[in-house]
Amino acid sequence: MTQTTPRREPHSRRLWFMFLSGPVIYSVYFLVVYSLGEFGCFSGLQFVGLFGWSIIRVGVAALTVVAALVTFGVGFASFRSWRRTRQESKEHDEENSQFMLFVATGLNGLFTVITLLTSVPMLLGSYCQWI
Amino acid sequence: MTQDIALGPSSKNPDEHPSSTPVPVGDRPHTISPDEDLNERLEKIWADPPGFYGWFKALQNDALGGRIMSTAFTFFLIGGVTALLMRMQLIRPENTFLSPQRYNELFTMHGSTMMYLFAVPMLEGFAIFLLPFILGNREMPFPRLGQFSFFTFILGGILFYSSFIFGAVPDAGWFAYVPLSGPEYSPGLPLDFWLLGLGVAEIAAIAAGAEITIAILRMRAPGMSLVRMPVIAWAYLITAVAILFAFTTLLIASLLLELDRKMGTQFFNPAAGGSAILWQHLFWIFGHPEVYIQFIPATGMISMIVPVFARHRLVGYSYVVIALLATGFLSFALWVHHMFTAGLPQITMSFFSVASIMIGVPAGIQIFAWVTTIFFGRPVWTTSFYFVVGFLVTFILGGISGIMVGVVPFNWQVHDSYFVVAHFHYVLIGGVTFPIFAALYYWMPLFTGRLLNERLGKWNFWLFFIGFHVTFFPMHIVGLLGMPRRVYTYQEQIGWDIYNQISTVGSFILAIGVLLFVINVFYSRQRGEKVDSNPWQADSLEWATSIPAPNYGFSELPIVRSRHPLWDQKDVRDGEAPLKRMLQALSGWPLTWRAALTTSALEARPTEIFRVSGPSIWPVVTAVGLIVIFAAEIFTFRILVFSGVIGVIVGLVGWHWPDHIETTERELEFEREHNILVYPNGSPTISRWSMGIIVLLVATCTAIFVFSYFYISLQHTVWPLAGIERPGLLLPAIGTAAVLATAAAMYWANRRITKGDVVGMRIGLALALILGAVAVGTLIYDLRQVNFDHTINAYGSLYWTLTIFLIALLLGGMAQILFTQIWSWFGRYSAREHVAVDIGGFYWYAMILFWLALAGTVYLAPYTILSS
Repeated sequence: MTQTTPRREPHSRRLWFMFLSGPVIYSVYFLVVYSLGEFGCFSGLQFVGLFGWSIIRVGVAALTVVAALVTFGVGFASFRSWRRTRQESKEHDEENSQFMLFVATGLNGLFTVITLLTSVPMLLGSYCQWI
Repeated sequence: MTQDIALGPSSKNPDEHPSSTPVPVGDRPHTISPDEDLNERLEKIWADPPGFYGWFKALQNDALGGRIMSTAFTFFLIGGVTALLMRMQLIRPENTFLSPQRYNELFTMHGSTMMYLFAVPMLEGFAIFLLPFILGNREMPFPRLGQFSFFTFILGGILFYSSFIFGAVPDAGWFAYVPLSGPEYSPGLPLDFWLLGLGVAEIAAIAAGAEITIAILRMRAPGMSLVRMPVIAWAYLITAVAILFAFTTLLIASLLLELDRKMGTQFFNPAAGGSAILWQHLFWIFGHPEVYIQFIPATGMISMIVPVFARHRLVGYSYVVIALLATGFLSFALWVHHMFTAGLPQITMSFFSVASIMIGVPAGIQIFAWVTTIFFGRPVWTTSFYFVVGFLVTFILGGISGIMVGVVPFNWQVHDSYFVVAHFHYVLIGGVTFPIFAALYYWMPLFTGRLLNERLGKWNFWLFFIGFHVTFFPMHIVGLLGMPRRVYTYQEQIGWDIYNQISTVGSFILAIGVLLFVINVFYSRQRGEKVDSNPWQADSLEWATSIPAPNYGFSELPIVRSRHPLWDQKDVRDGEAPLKRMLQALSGWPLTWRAALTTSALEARPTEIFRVSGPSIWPVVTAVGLIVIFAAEIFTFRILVFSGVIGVIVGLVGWHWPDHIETTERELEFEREHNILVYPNGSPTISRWSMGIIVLLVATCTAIFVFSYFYISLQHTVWPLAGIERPGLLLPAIGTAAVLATAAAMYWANRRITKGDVVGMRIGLALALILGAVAVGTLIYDLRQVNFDHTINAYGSLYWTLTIFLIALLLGGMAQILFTQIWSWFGRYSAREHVAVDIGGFYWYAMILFWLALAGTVYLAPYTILSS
């Protein structure tokens, strides 16, 4: 028989990565900072200090910076790729990869903002107070 | 940039049906072949078997989808009656129409019915019916799984409601909080009916979720790339994936609670080291996404209906997709907002408060898209469109109150008050039930071949709309006045009387609206206007078939070149010449088995032609076996549980027994001629994806077990509890080596069969089986030698449950290897067809990770930070 392998779509892995990275990074980030907050406060980690701040605060701040930078970076790369493909194929109104890149830009942008906002309450003083 | 379309004038007379502006016959882009003989032969291949026995074996998507929707709607009516009874009780203070116990039972049954037995199954029924048509294919990927899903759903629902017969009606709410639902405060059978009856229905939901995911990703019409995918397909894809995570979590939570109730484990018993709050976490990890599991497909329906009746393309398609994806992910980051009064650190609440507020952004994007589409369009005011507008008004109000309860201090004020009852009914009826009615009016011609009556429909809408707001708006006020929810009565002169009276009157108006819909369905089935094609001049592929749709869906599969194929393509069969030639050839061949097409996930390029499984009784046997297990367990009738297990095993073997067709020269010739793979014994692609979903489900279970372990253990200063020694490490080390070796043996077996070496494959499978047995042996030996059991405390419960779960995973993988080995002796595998070995290997590679996560938790965690 003719062993035909379906033709691989152009840059499909890269497209999927950009497409899903924003929400996936946010999900992982959220789970980790939630665990750090919940279990850290359970086990008294707020009393362990680093650079004059509690380790929970330092951890959440560091994770926020990393997650926001990565999400923003992927979003920016998606935007640049989207702009480039748009200029290259002006005759096509909406091509699949353009669409994927556009959605990737939007999602990464949105989740960068959400990630930053998630960390804002950490500026409060009594974050481990049990209510 | 959106572009207006000219589709005929909007109807000025509300009673004049828009179908009175027909599409010219010559423009109908039907994909039904003019060759009557060919259509007949296709119909014969795809039709379900006739008669009473045939009814059970039926698996066509339209039959199953219709049955699921009808059953779910029946549960909706039953749930509605429970609501009316509660409203009658609350019409005046200190009423004695219902006893407190009966009231508790009714609100439990009402919430559980609407959440588990109506909304999700109804939307899944729509998906199973519509998706093959909307996606432009002939069937769902696993028709037998759909059949299994239907029977588990209806049998689970019946089991749940049989609690009335046994006088053991669940009474702990649709959330079943512990300790109220635990063995101490809810002895007897009621909560077992809740956990086990609904457990079966949850399995049905997961089965449908798996099927929908694969259908959308791999069974779209050629050319329907992601950018051309209808919004409803996006919505269902996100929902189906969410179902896989959320319902699996609930299933594990239900299992743990049932183990506490029946087997004496201590997961949720704080006195023995467990945690009552853990139940709330697990329940709401399911419970909040559950709301979006209902809402997201409902918005998909709205995005399909709005452009058709606004006579304008959806504004901001890409933004709507962004919003749907963002909503799907964010929905899993909200669960703690149901627990703001449970006693949590501020930091935890602040994370969830932010996420709860931010989810308003994607919801807002969608609302702007719909409103803008309507603004730029020329609306046709059909009943379906009335329900769309009703949805917009109601859901916006519910969304605003949702943002309010996302704010922690406000949440504390209104928690467990009628304000919350008002909020979630605005969201769930406004955001889900209104779109369902809109969808029923819109797609009914496809289901029955007849339109629903518009005049009755308008009455239906107005009574429903007015009744809804009269019922639920006053609840905001009475909630702010302090009336708590879930109380069977209230005292006079508190000032709540008038609001409750208004609500009760409204609920009966709403009920009359629903009754009119039922009347309309029965009336229109007999006397409704018949239609034979696209009555709404819609743009999507489901309207490209004749009405009612034939069993084979499309004789010639469509080629999609636009997001709105019926508006933009003169003939949906036109496309690139080689593709068109292949699809034309596929319409007349093979006429001996059910052929469907798989396409690539991103750009929908054809990849395989494969045989879809045909009618079988075995999925029903499996479903009955499952219900026997669950029903017998309610009454702790273990011999019957065992017979149910036998039934499930027999059913699964029969279901998957290879119905082998030899690959003939004709198939090979088709492959060569059209450059596409042909698999008359099932699709390797679909099989791989299905194994991927099984691995995803197991990974979710594993994550939940590990989360539970750490959640409980981190609350203790000493771990293991009660002087239990830390576990030994020799046996798990041997087990780890055995699992790694099993995966290696599977890899080797797969390599051998790829080269056509059947004997080498058999040796590899045999080795894998032996090594897997060694891994199981280490775990069983370990359990036999520990000096504590699962009832001693939460540590013992976790230790035993996680280990037994690991054993079950290993045995599942071994069973797959065993059957692959058996079938290899029937000559089923070759270098060309050996997907069972392939996916078996995939399972065992994933098994390494599951082993490391679970065994690592059980055996190593007590040596780490937890030990101090």
